[in-house]
Amino acid sequence: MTHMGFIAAAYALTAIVLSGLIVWVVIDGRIQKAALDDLDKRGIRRRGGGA
Amino acid sequence: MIELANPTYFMALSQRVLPWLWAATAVVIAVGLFMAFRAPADYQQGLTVLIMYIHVPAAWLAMMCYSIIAISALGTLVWRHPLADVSAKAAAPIGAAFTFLALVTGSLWGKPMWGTWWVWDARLTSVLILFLMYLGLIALWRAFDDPARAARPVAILALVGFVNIPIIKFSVDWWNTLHQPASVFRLDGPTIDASMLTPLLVMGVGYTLLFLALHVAAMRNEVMRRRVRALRVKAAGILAPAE
Amino acid sequence: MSAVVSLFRRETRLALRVGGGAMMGAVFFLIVVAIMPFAVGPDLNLLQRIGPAILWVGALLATLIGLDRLFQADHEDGSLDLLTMMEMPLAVVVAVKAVAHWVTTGLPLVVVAPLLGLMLNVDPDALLAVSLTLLVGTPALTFVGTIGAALTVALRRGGLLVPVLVLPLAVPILIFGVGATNAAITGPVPMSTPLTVLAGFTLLSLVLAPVAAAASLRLALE
Repeated sequence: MTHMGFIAAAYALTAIVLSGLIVWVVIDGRIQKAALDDLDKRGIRRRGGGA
Repeated sequence: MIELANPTYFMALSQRVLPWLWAATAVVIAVGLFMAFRAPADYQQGLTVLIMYIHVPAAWLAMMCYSIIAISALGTLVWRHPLADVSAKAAAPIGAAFTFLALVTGSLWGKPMWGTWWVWDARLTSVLILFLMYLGLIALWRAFDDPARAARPVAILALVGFVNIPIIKFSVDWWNTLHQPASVFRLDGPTIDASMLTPLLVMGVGYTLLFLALHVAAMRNEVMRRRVRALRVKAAGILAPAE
Repeated sequence: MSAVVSLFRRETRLALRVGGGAMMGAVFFLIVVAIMPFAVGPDLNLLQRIGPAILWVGALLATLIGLDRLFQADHEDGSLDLLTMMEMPLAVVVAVKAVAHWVTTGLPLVVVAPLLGLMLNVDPDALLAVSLTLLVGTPALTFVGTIGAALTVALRRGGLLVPVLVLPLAVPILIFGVGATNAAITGPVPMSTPLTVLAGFTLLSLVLAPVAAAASLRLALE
C-alpha cells in the first residue's frame, strides 16, 4: 500500500465508523418512537409525567 | 442539573438542542477537514500526517468519554441522579467506537511510519487497555437481565476503572522505557507548528460536538427504550416494579 | 479481633476441605506452565528468557480462575447475607475472605513457582526473584480480583466476565511483577524500584478493593 493508501484507509474507516454511529442512533430512535406510538395507539399510557 | 433530573424535561430540552448540535458538528468538522488538507505536509512524515487529524481527536474523545462515564457514575452512586446511568449507558458504545478508531488509525499511521501494523508504545498500549475497559463496561451491562439493576454495579466498575487509568498510564510508561525501541518515535513533532495545531484543535472541537450530539441522541433513545419496557410490562398485566 | 480470626479460620477450613478448591489453582498453574513449551518450542534458551513471564501469566490466570469460589458458594447457600449482617464492616469481611483466599490459592502458587521455574530452565537467582515478586504481587491480584467477583456474584452467566473485568486492572501488577523479576536478572534498574511499586499496589488494593467489593456485594444482594 502506498502512503496514500494508508491515509485513504484511515479516513474511510473513520467515515464508516462515525456514520455507523450516527445511523445507529437515528434508527434506534425511530424504533423506540414507533414502539411508543404503537403502545399509545393501543391505549397504554403512563399516568402523569416523570419515569 | 436539578431540572434535568426530570426525564420529561430532559426529553423536551434535548429535542430542541439536538438539531443545533448536529448542524454545528457538520460545520466544524467540515471546516476542520478543509484546514487539515490545506495545512503544509509534515517535514518528516509527508502527507501521512493527515492521519493525525483523525487519530489524535479520536484518542482525545476516547479519554473524554470515559471521564464523562466516570462523572455519570458519581451521579448514580453519590447523588442518585435519575438520568446519570442513562448517560453512562449511552456513552459507553460511543466511547468504545472512538477508542477503536484511535487504535485503528494509530495502526494505519504506524505502518508507513514504523513499518509495523502495531507498536507497543506507551500511548497505543494505554489506549488498548482503555478499549478493554469499555468492553468490560458493556459486557457487565449486558450480563444483567434487568438493565435498571445494572446501573450501580456498572457505576462502581466505571469508577474503579477511572481510578486505575493513571496507574495504568504510569505502569505502561515505565514498561515502555524498559523496552525502548531502537529509536524514539513521537506521533507528533517536538512542537506542532501552528499551521497544524489549529486544524487539529478544530477537529478536536468537531469531534467533541459529534460526541455530544450522539450522546444526547443516544440518551433520548435510552429514555424511550425504558418507557417502552415499562409500558410493555404494564400492558402484560403485571405491576411494574418500583424503580 | 476474635471475629476476624474465626472468619479467617472458617474460610481456610472450607477452602482446604475436599471440594473447597484450594489447591486447584496450583494444579492449573502447573498445567499452564507445562503446555507453554508445546506452544513455543522446547528451546531452553527461549524458555529461560520468557520463563518469568510465563510464571507470572500462569499465576495471574490461576488467580482469576479461582476467584469465583470467593463469594459464589456463600451466595448460593445464604451465608453471604449473614455475613453482611455481622457487626464487622462488610469491607473488613471481604478483606478477611480475600486474605484467606490468597493463603489457600495464591500462596501455593508462590510455593510451587520455583519448581515450575526449573522446568523452564530459569536459573536459581531468577527463581528467587520470581518467587519474591510473586509473593509480593499475588495478593494484589487476589484483592483486585475480589472486585470482579463481587460485581458478578449474582449473575447467572458470569463465565468469562470476571477475567474480562479484572484483566485491565491487573495489567499494572503484571508489568511491575515481571519488571521486578527481569530487573533482578538483567538490570539495569535495581530490583528494589519495581518491587516497591508492586508492594505499593498490594497495599493500595488491600485497602481500596474491599471497599469497592463490599459496595458491589450489597448491590448484588438487594
